[in-house]
Amino acid sequence: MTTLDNVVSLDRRARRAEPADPILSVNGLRIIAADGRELVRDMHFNLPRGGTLGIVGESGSGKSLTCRAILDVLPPGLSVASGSIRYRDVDLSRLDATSWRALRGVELSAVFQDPGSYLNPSIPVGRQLAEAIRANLKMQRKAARDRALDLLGRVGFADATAVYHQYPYELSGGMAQRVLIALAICAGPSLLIADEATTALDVTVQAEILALIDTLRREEGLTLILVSHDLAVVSQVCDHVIVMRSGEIVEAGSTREILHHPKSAYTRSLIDDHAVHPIAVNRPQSADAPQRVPILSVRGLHAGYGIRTVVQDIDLQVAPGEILGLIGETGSGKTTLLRTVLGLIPAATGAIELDGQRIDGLTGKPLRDLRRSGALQYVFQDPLRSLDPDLTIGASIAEGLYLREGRLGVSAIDASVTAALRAVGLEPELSTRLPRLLSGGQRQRAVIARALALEPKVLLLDEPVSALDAVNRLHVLKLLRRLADERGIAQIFISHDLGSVAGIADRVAVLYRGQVVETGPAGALLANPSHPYTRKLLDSAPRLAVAAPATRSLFTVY
Amino acid sequence: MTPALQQGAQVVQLRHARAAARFVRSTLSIAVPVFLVATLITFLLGVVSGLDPAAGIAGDAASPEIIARIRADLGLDQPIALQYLQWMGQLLRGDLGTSWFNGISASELIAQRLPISLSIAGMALLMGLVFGTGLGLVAGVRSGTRIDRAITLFAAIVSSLPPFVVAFGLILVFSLWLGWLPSSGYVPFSEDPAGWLAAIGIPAVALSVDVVADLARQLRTGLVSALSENYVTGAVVRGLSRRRILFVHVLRNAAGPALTVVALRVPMLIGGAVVTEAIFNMPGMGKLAADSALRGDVPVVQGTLVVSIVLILACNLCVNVLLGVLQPAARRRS
Repeated sequence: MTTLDNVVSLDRRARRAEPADPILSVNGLRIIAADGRELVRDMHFNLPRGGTLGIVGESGSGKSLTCRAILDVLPPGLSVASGSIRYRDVDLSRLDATSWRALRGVELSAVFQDPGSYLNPSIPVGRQLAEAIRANLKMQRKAARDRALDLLGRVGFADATAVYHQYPYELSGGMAQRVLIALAICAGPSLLIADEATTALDVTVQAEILALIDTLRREEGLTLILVSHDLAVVSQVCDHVIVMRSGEIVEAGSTREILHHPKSAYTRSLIDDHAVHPIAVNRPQSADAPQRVPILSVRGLHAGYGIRTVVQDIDLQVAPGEILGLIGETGSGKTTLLRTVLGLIPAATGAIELDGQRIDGLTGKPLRDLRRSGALQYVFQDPLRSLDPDLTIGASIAEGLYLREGRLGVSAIDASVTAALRAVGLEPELSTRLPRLLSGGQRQRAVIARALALEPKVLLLDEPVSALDAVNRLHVLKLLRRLADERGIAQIFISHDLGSVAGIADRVAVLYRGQVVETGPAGALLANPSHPYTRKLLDSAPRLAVAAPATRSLFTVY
Repeated sequence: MTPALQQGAQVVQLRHARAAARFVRSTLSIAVPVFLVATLITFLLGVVSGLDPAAGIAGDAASPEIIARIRADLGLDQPIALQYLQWMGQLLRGDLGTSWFNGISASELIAQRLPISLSIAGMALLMGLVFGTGLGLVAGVRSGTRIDRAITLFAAIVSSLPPFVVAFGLILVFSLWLGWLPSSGYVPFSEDPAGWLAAIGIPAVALSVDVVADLARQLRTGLVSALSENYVTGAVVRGLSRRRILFVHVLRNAAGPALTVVALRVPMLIGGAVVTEAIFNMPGMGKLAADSALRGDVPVVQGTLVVSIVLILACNLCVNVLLGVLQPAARRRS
């Protein structure tokens, strides 16, 4: 308590004048679960004032838990078993609730993934901002309101007054993250932790948010910890990087060192992930292949919700064995297009043909027959939510088979389930498990196996790899490519990750404000885009920063 | 601020005002049909009861002509649809008809007895809100601890006891053994506030236990789930105090289902008044309805039903408005 009071009462400028001591030092940090499992082991680093540290790793690597331990907001059941976290000369593990409150917001601050969920859904965002300002800076209502409006302007809202009165559900992901950033810096903290702050945002928005964080960092003299599963995101902003895996540091050093001379194979795989897409090699380019008859074709399609038209004048074809990549930002109509093809949204005008048969406008029994046939299958982004939590994986896969051909008998269905699981690279033993007992990658394979069991002609994939880490993403992409090549399953593949699309798609269609603005062979289109929007999308994609900022000797990982 | 920016803020406020108007419209679009259907059923109950006051009024020796004249005076010879329209017209003017039994206006009879029922139901609701919220808050915030388990157990036990059993138990303890409170009778608030409180104490407690138990359990569930939301972590990281997070942020979002439960309980409070008034021998509206039904006094029974319908609808409207104020997101869905 007394130590903290001293820290807080110190003049900030005086503290900044002596950059030698680390602002944050983490030592031998060990985080365990209630059942004793070790989730983070021997995490350690010293972060100098004004430094920028990136922590990179796949989901479950312990990077976010480290951040939450620093902020003392670990999920229930998890605790710091040993190690120390020091902020300036305060041992954070010894703080009482009052001291923590004085520290959070004013000294330490954070922004997170899924920003909308970090705002109270029932209160306009401006009032939440003013509340945080009043709580931390002891300001009067009017002054707090003015400061809130000013901050909203600083994080990039042209119309701060309008945003002030809006509820979180009225904001897009990027807008919500801007509000969260305003909240984080409202009391002038020294250390900002950005935990996957740009994940799941559109590439263009992601680039803007990263630029905003970097600008504010310079202007405010913030010390920054940027956590991401994406090495490219981190490399653009940070001068130092820690690579984590399974709760441990794999490698640490200056960004330049890590990028140019990675010591571990794991780091190299993260870098390779961005450089080339190995699966793109060794397959016939459909541009060279003879023109095939499309299995699915969409002509002059208009569709939307009620009177609102979301997609307009869409013309698309997919041939057997072909993967069509569909790219575009959130709200461009990608998902609406897929849902219309699937018959979940009625087409206003236009035609959708599957194997020469019109499937738009089907209702009643013909629609049910089409669905039971399994010719058209859909894979969603979040595998956990697309599997019945109370059905075993095997039962989920068998359900469609049973509905289509119950007369097959139990043993035949079992055989099909096993075959489907094998085809996606899962052990047949997993069929008796419940979805929540599987890892994210296994779950998404199980969903694909469920679709596969019905021997679909067309697979519609809506962000199927977005929730997966780099390693699993690569495996699932390879699997999808193989299904196209070996089984001739046509696929429409939506992703906001241009790398994934470039990796597996034969052709690419770019959707912008509900219209296809450009379409062509994947390689040619991505290498040489003709539409300005496509160019903007490509430019916004995070790249490894080749010329990393100069290293600072003060940063130490030992 | 430039005019363009002011316009932007106005657009947002206009959108919210429209959402609020939509919310009011949708709430009314439910309340009005419910009122019409419920009153129609009330009217038809009188018709299908087959009761006819004419013979009773005319006496044993009356000729068929006299009975027919009385029927005509009462409007009972009109087609049913016309009778309904007349009845509804009177009802909307606040005229609930006249007792067939003693010729006193039903409104007057009900007005005499309504304060008693409202005292009991209102006090039961108030106690339910206070103790239910208190217990729910403690259990939700201290979830998983011994005190949480004790409250959950208490709620499970009392909600399995019918109000009349609780009432007899309370009479046994507080009236017969301890002699603190009267076991029957009613004293108007205007005559003796302390006596009023003593008189309605036991019936109100007996009626409120279900509300306490339901509210506590629902609020606890809501709090536990709201406390695990990301926005709570966000508020912690922003440096807000625990108390502020609980009362400003969490409670607001957790209160919805609990309030809905309270709204569902209001009809049962009014219904429960019939039983409790009988037990405690109080001349309330419940007792009036029961006595009138036994006497075949159709206008009075209909009057008590209509008053109950209006009370219940009014409570539901209040809860809906409160929900809309607490959680604007609910407006968006409606």
